[in-house]
Amino acid sequence: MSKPNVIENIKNISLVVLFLTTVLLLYFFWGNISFDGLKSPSIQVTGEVPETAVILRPEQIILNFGAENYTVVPPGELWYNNKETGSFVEELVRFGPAENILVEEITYEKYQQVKGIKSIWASFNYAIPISDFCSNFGITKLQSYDVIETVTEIGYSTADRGNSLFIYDGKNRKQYRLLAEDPKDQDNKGNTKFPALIDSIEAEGYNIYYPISSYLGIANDTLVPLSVEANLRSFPFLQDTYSYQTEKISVIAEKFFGGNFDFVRKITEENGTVIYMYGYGQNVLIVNTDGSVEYKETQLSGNTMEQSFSGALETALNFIASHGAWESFEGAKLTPHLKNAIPLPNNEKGYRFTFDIEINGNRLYYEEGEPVTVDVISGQVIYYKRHFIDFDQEDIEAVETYTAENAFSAVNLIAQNCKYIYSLLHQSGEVNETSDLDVMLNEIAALVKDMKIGYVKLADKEATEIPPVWVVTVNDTEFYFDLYTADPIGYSE
Amino acid sequence: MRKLIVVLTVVLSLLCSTIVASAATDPNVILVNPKSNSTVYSNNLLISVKLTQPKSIKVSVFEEKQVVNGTLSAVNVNTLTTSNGSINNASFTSVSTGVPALFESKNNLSFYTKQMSLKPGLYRIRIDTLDPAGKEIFTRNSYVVVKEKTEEAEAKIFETPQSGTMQFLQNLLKTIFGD
Repeated sequence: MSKPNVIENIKNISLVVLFLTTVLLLYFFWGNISFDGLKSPSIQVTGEVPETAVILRPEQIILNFGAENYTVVPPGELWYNNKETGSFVEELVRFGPAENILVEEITYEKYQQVKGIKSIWASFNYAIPISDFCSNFGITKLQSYDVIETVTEIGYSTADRGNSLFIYDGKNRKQYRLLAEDPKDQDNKGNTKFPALIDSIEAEGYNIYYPISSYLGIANDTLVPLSVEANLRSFPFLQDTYSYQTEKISVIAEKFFGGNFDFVRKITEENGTVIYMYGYGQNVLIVNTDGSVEYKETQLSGNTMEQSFSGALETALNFIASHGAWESFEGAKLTPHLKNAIPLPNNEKGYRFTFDIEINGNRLYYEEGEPVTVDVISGQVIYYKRHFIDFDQEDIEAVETYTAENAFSAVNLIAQNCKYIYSLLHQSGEVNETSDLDVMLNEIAALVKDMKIGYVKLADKEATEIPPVWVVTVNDTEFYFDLYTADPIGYSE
Repeated sequence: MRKLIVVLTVVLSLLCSTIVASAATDPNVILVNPKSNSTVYSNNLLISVKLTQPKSIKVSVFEEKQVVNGTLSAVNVNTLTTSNGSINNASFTSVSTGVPALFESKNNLSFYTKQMSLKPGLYRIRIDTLDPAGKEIFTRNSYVVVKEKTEEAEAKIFETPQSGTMQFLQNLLKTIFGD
């Protein structure tokens, strides 16, 4: 073959290769496809994924023993335990027989009436689609349940023959009665042992609660404990990350970008915030100076997959498990629970999940932000933020050894901090100006939605300790007070 | 003139006397719960007293009993008579249920709260306002009737009462077709 022909052949082959390469590169750029598409799509879950039935936990369980005798208990094993003995969920599963359950909508007044007598109620902060509620807890879902869209509260009452469950659909603000009628058994109580469960809790003794109306003489049926004993104490903590921990931050970033980490740009801002960016911003990781980590991913085009509530939650839990899991980056263990689940707006097929965490059975509140937030659209996590704390487990175990002492009286906490609470409500325009202490008390008492104890992570970046607190929810504001002195510590709107 | 001065002195001393004050109630000490002359269907009673000034109070609870066949017995609350909304207590004997509780408030707004387990009967809640020396300067008495917690298991909220005709028809259908 002559030399000119060889050169021509080489040129032709080069042109073909260049042409094909150009087509391939244009395909990727125009198609907005990540190189991740070339890899296996499955996420390598490295951490433990908690059971969904454990994550889906009510905010509280309220027991009415009758004649204005109440108690409020944390859900814990009373709500669900895998030993299948003496739990709320066990009794829900047992309710039946399935072929005789009728569903009827009832009025708000009837619903309040059944709550006013011997009963037990589990209240969630969010609305769970009925099909997901039943599937997650192993409850047989009947066709008659289709009239109910979501479950926000579920309970059992001894009203009438004590053979009914009651559901509040928070999304549509409707109340339902599930009546288990077995014509062959006139004494049928719907096959459940709820009455025995209520009686056993009453017999074991309980921390007594009364409605605010009983303490303060103002109409409000929010339950408040007469007294609380606790052994909570302040403990020291550290941020999950600090700006100077460059190697640690790099290792964290690698978890999010995997094999693409070499193609990632790193930007360090003047204030110490570190940003990792892949491509033209398809994947962004922000390590903030407060120790929080944010990850954003551009939604894949053409991805319109419908995903159920449970499916989206599972996607979120798997993602969290493979990107830090439920512990600080130094290994401090935290217990998660779903705090809220909001469908994303603008017809986006997904949810925003926020999670709260507990340390040794006590909830850790945040004055600013949330511990974990995850946005899931069509099976893809497009936003993830985690803001954990690091602490020494030995400090927590030391707290556990302290003797329980009386927390500050809940009612006198409100009385003592009347002016403080009122001034903040006035600042936000929720109440009118007044100097009359009685008027302030009456207005605040009517607006109190909840009172609980726990720990709080303050927004102050100089804070080095986590204090134990009373958390008073007035309208949509959480006020934090020292658990033992009732001194105001902070608030969160 | 001298007689006038004597009369004025007596009148003023009566007006300023603590004897008069002890019969009056303290407007800054209010029994929020239970409401006076109310009935409570529970053996758990919450006592809530509101103080709107820095004060010291003493709270005592007495069971009002009556002599029946020579012995002191609990008042039969089902046959209690009232007149003009107040309880006729002329024949009762007060029996203390325990040591009076002392409570001191240093704020302009505070609450004394206590839960008591009581048997059915008639009770009198006495609240004394104390001066710095511990002497009672104001007294307030309120009555409350405690009755047994009623059985609510048969509370009928959804079953509507039926007319005689409807009940007859229902029974007839049950007879024909069974349950």
